[in-house]
Amino acid sequence: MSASETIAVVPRQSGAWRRAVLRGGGRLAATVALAIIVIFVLLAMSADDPAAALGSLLSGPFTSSFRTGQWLSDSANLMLSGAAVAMVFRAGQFSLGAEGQILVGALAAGAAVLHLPSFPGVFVVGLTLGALAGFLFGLVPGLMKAYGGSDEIVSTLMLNYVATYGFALLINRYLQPASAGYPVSDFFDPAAFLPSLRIGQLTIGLALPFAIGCCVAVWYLINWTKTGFEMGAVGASVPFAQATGMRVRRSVWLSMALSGLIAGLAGAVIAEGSTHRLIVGLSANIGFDGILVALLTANRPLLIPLAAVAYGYIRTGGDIAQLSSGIPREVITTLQGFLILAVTARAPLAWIRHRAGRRRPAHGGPVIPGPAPLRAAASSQRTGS
Amino acid sequence: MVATTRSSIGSGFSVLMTNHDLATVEPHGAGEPPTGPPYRLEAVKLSKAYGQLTANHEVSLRVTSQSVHAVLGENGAGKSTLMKMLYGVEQPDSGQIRLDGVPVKLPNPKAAVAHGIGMVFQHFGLVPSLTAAENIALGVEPGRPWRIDKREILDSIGALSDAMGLHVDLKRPVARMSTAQQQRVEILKALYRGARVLILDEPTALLTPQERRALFDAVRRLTEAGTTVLFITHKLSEVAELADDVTILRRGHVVGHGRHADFNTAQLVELMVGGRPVTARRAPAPLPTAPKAASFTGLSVTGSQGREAVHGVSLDLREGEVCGLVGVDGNGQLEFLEGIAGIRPVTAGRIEIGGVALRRWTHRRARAAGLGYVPEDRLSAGVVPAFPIVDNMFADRITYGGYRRHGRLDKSRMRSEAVRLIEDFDIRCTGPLQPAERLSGGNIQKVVLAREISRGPKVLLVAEPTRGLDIGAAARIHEALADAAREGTAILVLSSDVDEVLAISSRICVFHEGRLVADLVNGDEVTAEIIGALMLGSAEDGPADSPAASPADVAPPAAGGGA
Repeated sequence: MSASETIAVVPRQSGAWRRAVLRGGGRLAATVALAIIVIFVLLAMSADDPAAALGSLLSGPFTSSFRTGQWLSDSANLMLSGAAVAMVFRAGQFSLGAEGQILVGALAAGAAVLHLPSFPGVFVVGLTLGALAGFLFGLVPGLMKAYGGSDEIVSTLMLNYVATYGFALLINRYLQPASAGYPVSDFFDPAAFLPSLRIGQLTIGLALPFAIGCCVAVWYLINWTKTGFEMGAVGASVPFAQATGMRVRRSVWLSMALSGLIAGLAGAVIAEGSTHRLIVGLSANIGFDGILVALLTANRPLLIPLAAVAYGYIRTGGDIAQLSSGIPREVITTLQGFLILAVTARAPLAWIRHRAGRRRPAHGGPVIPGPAPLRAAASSQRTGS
Repeated sequence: MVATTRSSIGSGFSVLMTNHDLATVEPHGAGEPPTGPPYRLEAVKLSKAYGQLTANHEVSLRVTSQSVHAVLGENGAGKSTLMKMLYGVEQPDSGQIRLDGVPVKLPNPKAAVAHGIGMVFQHFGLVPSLTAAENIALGVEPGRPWRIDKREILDSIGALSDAMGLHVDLKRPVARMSTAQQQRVEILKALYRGARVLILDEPTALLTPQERRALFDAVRRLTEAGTTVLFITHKLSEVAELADDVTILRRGHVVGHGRHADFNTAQLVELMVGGRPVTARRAPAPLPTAPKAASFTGLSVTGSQGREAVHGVSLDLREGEVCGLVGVDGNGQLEFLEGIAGIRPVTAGRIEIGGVALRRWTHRRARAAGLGYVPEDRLSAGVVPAFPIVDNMFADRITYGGYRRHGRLDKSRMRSEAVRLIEDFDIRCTGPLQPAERLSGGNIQKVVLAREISRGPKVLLVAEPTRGLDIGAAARIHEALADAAREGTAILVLSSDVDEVLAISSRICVFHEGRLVADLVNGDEVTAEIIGALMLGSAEDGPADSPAASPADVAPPAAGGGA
């Protein structure tokens, strides 16, 4: 309005996007540097030769083409899971149900390919059913929130237990061969394996391009479609979405169900592409690590492949280091925990503040904008695209 | 000073009065010669900058003891920053604050309170579940730490409120009090803590004309009893009614100060807005026999607490009409508006827009039928602060499937149309991609209005169109509304500023206790006093002119017929 206000506005606007990227990149670099220090301290305490152990952790994924393939396959699974989480977080729903949805998706895909007669392309049927199962399993907490007002954090976490134990129970009852001593199914027919490409020694599964495609699809949905716009608006402000005539409930359940769809797909991809059978512990925590991947990118779908590959590197490196240099598994888990803390301590706090901060500041005190990576992501992505 | 404050709290009101007397005789107990000017509070060349924005530049202020001093200025002029420095909330970059001639440091509000400065913010800091007395004594309770002397609290506060004419029910929880009563509690709270300089931040923003008068009477009594009052306002009428002295701020600079009597209104406006032409508010459109734009019959609406807040109200709107909706906060007018908007459940009645009655009334359907809606809280419901202007402008059209090409959002077309609307509505910004949170309040409201008016609605519902905006921005908002009315839109505008409703509407509907108690054609003979009396139910402590005797035409469908 007045000139003084314009002065305040102009310099902050120019280059805001670039500065946000720089700030985000700087924080990421600081986090990684801190992580390496923490790893080293942990190794110094637990390994005989910390330098060698660190070396095997860092170089592990490159020591053989099999290991590289394993890394890329793990990364693809993380990408799908991360895309599922980023999608639902961008819609403002704090769903933590990817883990359970992955299991349900894997179960549906596995049950289908185990019972169907083998024919070329049967793996597509598995993927489709896995996606559908994930959609329905995501729809449940979505409808509970949209029409019953239940908190999605609680409901999705509880449904994870339903999925985990239901998964084991159903395998035990219906799919477990008599010879097996624990809940595991037979191997699938090779026609139900996810196809893969051999480049020299290296095997790259179809999962990788497929997962990247999913990230792009999520990006497109959020940025370029009406449905995605509505989800973003509902996520940013329910009163606003209501006051502009949006279907808030539909947006809530749809975003949670679509996220479930992607997670279900991830489950089918893991079963058909990695384990080739149903087995307890199949998800290997991918659902929760997907949350970490999404938070690392501040829910930017196009950055998820990058973050997933980086995080998959640490996961695979940790597995290899455990085998080759006797680093206890706990070191890796501790490191992962540290990373989650380092990232989430900022992101969800900012997100919660963003959500709760709509109340008027009491006593006209200064409003502290603070670091809000998620909010920054929401605005800069809209501006940037 | 700290010690005297304590003693006044400890042993009740009589000591507090003694404090006042003492203080006038011997300022600050420091024994300085009383030769200097008797300024109770003085700001000397205070400067404060936030980043690149200079909020206050060498602002000086001299407040005479026992006077009422108004700080006048538009929003963003730096009034609040100045007051926050005087109350220790913000620290000046340079300059000095003096109390009774003695420089003081105010690192925090606690220090300000210890120096006898009290402040009542626009948004109160009261605990809703506690009673008035508990709120007033909270943190400074007399008695031993393990036992609070409730009787003494009640006695001392009672004496204080009697002496100052600030009557409140001390045993009633604050949650069940009106805004005006809560404000009295806040003032008592400051006085109870020994405030001899009282800062009031836009004290009349949420009051009815009658309540405003009562507040002004109380302020007068306070100054007679020895208190000095400093109040922030952007309303000229309040300066005229209440202030002895006035300091005018514009863009962080003092542009005028002196006795209020030395200025006339035109000069004050000139100083405040700085020679910028202030467009006169549009005269209300005459009411022709225009076709009906909307009709609401027997509407009942549920309020926030689940109770019925609106009881069977009927109202017809004609094209091009600006109908003002007034009522004391909490009398159903907001619920009525939100019920029509489809934001709140309508439990009974019939809504017709453009001759079409709709079943299952939701906001989405209401919009499809030709309704526009400017919500009360522009920052939470009007815009998404983090979204760029263009997304905020077209959010409604996007959700109805607009701006799509080949299945995807046509962002380039959205942007070019946003540029056009930014020009039409004179939105000051760096471009359509600037996030709304970087705009001033007035420009944010213009974004909301641009969205709602550019749809070409048949009926436009507007809640609090200019709350918190300065004169210049308010004038442009009023112009935009007048333009929309001229195009044939029926506008229903709710405002807690009765003067605003009087200035812009052709018709005024008054709500009291969930009913429409008056439906007047606006004209010169309709005054804020008449409206205020109707808002208060008019049977009780209203002025002599009852609504029936009011000179305004009372239209037949005064449904419900309150009390």
